[in-house]
Amino acid sequence: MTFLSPWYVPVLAALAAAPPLLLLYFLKLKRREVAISSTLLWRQAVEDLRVNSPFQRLRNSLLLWLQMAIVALAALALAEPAGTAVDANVDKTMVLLIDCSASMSSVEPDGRSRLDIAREQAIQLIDAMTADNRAMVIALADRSVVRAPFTSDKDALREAVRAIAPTDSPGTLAEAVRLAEAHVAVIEEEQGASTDAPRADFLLFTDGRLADVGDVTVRHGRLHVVAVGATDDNVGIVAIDARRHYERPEHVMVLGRVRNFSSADVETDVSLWVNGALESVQSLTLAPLADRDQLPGMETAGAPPEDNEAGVAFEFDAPAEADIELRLAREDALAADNRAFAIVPPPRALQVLLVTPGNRYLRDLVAAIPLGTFVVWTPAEYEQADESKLVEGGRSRYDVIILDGHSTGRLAPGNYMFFGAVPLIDGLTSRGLVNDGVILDWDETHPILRHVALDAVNVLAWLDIEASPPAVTIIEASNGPVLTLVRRPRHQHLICAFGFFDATREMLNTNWVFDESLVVFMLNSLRYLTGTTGQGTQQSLTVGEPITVPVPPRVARVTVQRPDGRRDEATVQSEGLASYAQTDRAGIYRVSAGGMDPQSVAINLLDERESFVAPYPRLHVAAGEVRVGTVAEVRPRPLWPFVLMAMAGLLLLEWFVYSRRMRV
Amino acid sequence: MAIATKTTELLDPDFISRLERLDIVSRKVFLGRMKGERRSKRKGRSVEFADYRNYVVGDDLRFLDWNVYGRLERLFIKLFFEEEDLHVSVLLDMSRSMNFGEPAKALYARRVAAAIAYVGLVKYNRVTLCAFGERFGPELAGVRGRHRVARVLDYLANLPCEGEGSLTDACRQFAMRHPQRGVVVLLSDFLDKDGFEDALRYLIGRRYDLYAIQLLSPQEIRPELAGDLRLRDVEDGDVAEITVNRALLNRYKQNLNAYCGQLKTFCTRRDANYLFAGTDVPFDELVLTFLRRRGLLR
Repeated sequence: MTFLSPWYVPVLAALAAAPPLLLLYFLKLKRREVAISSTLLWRQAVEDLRVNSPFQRLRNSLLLWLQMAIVALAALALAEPAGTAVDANVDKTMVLLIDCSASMSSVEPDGRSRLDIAREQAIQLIDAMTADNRAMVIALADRSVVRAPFTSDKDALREAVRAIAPTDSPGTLAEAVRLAEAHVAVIEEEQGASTDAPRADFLLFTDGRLADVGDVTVRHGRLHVVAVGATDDNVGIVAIDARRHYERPEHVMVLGRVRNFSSADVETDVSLWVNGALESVQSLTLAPLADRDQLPGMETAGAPPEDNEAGVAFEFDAPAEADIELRLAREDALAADNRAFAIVPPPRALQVLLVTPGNRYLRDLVAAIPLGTFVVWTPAEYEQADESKLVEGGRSRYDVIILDGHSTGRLAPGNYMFFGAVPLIDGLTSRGLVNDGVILDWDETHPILRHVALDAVNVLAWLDIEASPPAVTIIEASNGPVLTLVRRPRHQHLICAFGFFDATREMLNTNWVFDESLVVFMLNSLRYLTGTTGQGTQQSLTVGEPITVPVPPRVARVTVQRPDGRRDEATVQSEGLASYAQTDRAGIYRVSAGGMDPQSVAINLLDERESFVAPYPRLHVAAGEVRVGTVAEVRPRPLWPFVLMAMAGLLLLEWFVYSRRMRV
Repeated sequence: MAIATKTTELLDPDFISRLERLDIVSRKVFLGRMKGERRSKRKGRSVEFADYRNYVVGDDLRFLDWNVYGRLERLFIKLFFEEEDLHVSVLLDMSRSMNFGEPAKALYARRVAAAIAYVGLVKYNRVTLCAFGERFGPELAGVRGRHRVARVLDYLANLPCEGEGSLTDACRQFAMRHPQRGVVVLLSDFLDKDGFEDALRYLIGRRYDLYAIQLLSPQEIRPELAGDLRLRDVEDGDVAEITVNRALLNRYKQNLNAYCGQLKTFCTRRDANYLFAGTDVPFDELVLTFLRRRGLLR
């Protein structure tokens, strides 16, 4: 048995209660006056009983002993005695890891969210802490935050637990464990402990939907998992895409994907809202993911069975910027995945500058693409051009500048495509031409290579390029990268290591110019480069990803209007980009500042792991499976109610003894 | 405060008729002042022969037994029992404490005194009634004869019951004022904080035929008290704070028994009679049964 309160609490209580009780026995009572014939015999009788007072009287007073026993029991109850927990291994040092990811916002049938339940259970554990226990509180989602460092202050711990707010972020555990182990190590160093035994108990309150559980290793502690949640009723939007038609820019297409994660058939409506107004509704019927018995055993939702997932497509005309929202009409456990957002920027014709000494293939190819402005300069014209012709508002006047066979360092902030040339920037070097290489691999999943087949493409010679990270190699040959994407602040360089002509510019260097895939490649490249900068189509981010928007010069701070109504401020970095990382709720974030047009960014959950809210009874960490239990198994059983019951029994006995004495 | 008790409350006619047959008996034969209906210790002039003795010069020749002289030629004087009256004194404790109880001890004492006085009067004994409370008195001394009954009852009915009585002082004064030996009946609760020993010694020293009758109310014999109490002595205002419980009540009863036992032993050793009476015992039963059994009445 342990005592949850410090030792001085019952001692002080007993010291406070016992002396007054004894004093009451010595104090004169307010007595009823009765007239009698003579006090002769009474006085003698009283004195006879006081022969050895006060000690004999105190010793012989059953009432006093009973009352002292009641005081002792009350003091014992104040000490909060507690029995051993079922899982008796829970140590004196506890780390409370509370999952506040999106799935923990699921509402259980009793109306409480899983996070509410987890907070209550954590507070129960804190209440059951003994005086020499200490604990820390970590809230975990896509990133982990220490809410309370190690302390024995129960109030501080309770307050820290209550302050944990729900997020729409995916859940990760590894960072939280590393954070906790770092704190545990500090404490162990302070105490000079050298044992390799587990130093602390990590109590994880989660529904099991954590992305990186398999990579988690708990080296200096034991992991106990407290399962939270029981419902599996959820249907969620798992994908959204909204873009303008390339040839009819005022025409917008919205594509969405909806999946049923429950064990029942679901019929629901999906509605499209444009700028807050209902645009269209579609009905869906979705088959269950699995039987009710099978759901809890599934670690992930996996590939959808037939009719478990359905796509929706909407089309409408939007001549200006449009805030797009897909909304499920159904109310289920998790609300965060019932809405998905996208921003469609206003239609804007691209402005492209081609710098080439003469390349009709390339000129004709770009000219065939619908563009707002297409300008062709020679390299000399480019280098000699006035700055105002290239730069506007601190950025390049052109959405994309294509440099064919011309390496240059004149690179205003913007997007560049290089063919057989390189940007003269730090971290990128060209070591001359190499021959006889073979294209070995290319990233088919990259948007630039979507629907681009390179099997039949041959290249005679290309530049031997060496790029330091964070360069991304998209096409790789036997002797180096062929297509590389290099990002620098406010700059994007897509570098194709070969040009269409050889050094004499009389002979073709590649047969790609005769392949239709070059047209698709060029179209993809222009879309990609312009889309990722916010100039063409809007990027879509998931919860937790930072928002980065370019801002005009001399703007130092921007204001971020969050979807939950809160307003934050973000600082502008030196490169003219404002970054905001607190994207823990799904919705539309609007970034604004004086002298710049507001920019909207859509943040979505779009995480099947979080949407799959069915309870998961096992947890596989790197070291193996961790048993998932309940909070009752790790919480010491409180014994004070039994002490109070005993006290009530003694009170009854004391009353009985007193009344029997008074009955003469 | 004077308590005007009607005389009929003291002695009802039916009870008086039963008292008519009784007489007061003294275990000791005392000299009286006047002729009475009681055989005196002295040889006297009654018709009841007692003894002979030799004639000495100066004897009354009327008492010579001439028949004996005819046979024996010697002079003998015939001796007869002298019949004299008896002094019967009733000493009543009329302190404030005697007004306690249900029925009150004072009323009970008046009734006993009235009964004894009545028997004494009708038998031509010299009856003296003394009460003491705040002070000694009033006193009704030396009344005799049936015609004094009304006066005696009136006296008893109007006795005040007040003040802090001193048993010792009252007995001392009584002993000083009444040197005649006789029957003395002391009616009191004997709950005197100065003790009863000195008081009784005064009476015993005068060689009275002493009857000490201790009267206690049922509330004193079996107190029905409970809780935390502040007991106030009605006589001296003394206060005793008690918490009544079974142990205290048992101790009180033990003390009461011991006190009565001491009184009884004190009286017995000194040839005095002790009689304990609770006021819940019917008054006539006390007079007709207990006093007869103790030999005060016959």
